[in-house]
Amino acid sequence: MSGRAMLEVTSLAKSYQSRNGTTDAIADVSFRVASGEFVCVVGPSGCGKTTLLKCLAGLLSPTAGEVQLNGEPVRRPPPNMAFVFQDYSNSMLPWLRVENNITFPLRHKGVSADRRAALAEETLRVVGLGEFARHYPWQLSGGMQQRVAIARALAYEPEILLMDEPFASVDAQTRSDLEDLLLDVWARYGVTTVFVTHDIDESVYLADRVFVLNDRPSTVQMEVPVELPRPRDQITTKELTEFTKLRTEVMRTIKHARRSRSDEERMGQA
Amino acid sequence: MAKVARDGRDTNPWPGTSFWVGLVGVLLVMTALELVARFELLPSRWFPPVTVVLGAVADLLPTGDLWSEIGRTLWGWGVGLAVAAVLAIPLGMLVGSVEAIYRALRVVIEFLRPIPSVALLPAAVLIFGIGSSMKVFLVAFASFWPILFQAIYGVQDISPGVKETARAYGLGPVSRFMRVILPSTLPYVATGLRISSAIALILAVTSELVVGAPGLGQAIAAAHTAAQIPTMYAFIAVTGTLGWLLNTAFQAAEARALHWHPAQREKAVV
Repeated sequence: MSGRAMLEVTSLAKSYQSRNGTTDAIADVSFRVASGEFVCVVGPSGCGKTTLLKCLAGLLSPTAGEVQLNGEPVRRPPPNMAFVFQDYSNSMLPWLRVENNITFPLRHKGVSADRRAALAEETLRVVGLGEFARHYPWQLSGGMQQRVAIARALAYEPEILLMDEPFASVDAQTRSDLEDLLLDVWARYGVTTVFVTHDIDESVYLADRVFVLNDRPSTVQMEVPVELPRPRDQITTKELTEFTKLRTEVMRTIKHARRSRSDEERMGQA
Repeated sequence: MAKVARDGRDTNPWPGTSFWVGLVGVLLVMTALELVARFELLPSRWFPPVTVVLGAVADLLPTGDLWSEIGRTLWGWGVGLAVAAVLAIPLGMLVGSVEAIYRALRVVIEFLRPIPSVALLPAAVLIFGIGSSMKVFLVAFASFWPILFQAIYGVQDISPGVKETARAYGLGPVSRFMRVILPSTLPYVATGLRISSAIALILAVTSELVVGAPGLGQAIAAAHTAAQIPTMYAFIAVTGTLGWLLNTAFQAAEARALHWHPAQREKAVV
């Protein structure tokens, strides 16, 4: 890990209380993310990835453990952190034009009107939607709306970007376009990124390091450093033997994690 | 650049049905009514031909009487509706947001709502006399419920994704209310206002007609008593026209302010 630790997660645990009792989503998760790093968190569906990300964002408070950003404990959404949700259509305010969807979080941050307009213009151009500033989000396709969400996150000028399965609801072609767009943007802005996905190929393709979570209640099963050369390419990177090796390693870890957990359960019942 | 998708359906099953077709319908019905009277299918003494009624309207137009009666009815309508809106919008939003209040008040609301406002007329006369405060009370009582229910539905129907986005971008409770909750609830409230506007006119005219509060209803009753049958129908026609104009105005305002809402999208697309 190069650079200083920007985000530090220490023994994080999260349980939910409901009528049916307590659900343990996260058992014990610790990791550090260096400044400028691109980290993917991958794990089977329902393993508590989203819960983990919401704890990092200060949207949920952990049951135990701590999240620190630049040495400060995170208790509410920090002003230098931006979030991109999976459900793009529900994260847009339908009564605001695309440009205002990008700038609405900036006003209360104290950004001047001129600067807000400049940021909207710049970030929309970066995501290739320069001519759609005056459209409404519901006039755009799903992939375009998710690009608006990325533009909004960039305009917030965050030091760290959290993304919750942002490309899970778009078609395969759009998905690989968005992956490359994200890598471009990440290289250009140098923003530390934590990207949650259930897609193993996606995690290896994007990340500097991949954290593999196991089934609920989650722990970090394995940390996989990805030393594939950048800039990455959908064809040539994925052709590399190293890429195939890494994705197999991650896949085996996930499979093994599931098997050992079900073994444990069987032992527990016996 | 990707194709722009429009998330709106054409709900008019007969595209091209225009103003002119509507006008033909109106003329046909008026001709039928004219013939009914001319051929004495209904006694023309009590049901004068349309042309005679239109003549009576023309006679009324230059006199100040007609306009002051319209003014009195509109005053009761407007003040009653405004009182209802001022009470029902905040209360509905509160009831819809706080589950404990919703549970506490639901029974009371379900009990009060089905009371036909006209049934309160004798009580209103006892308490407020026969003047305009009685009219305003009845109008306000009747208009209150649709606005209240729409405000409750509206505030409960805000997408959790939108609320979470606002939180993730650090908007505090006041900003979230002003920039997310209020704009999301507005389409519902606008529909409530349009429904209530029609109910308010009915109650205003009823209280004038039955109790004799000044306004169009009283003018109808006075013309009836004086056996000025064409004048009576002229006032009825004016009242109907007023209701139609108010509804049209509310619909137009709704479509303009809420063009972004799924129910309005196909009508006003950029």
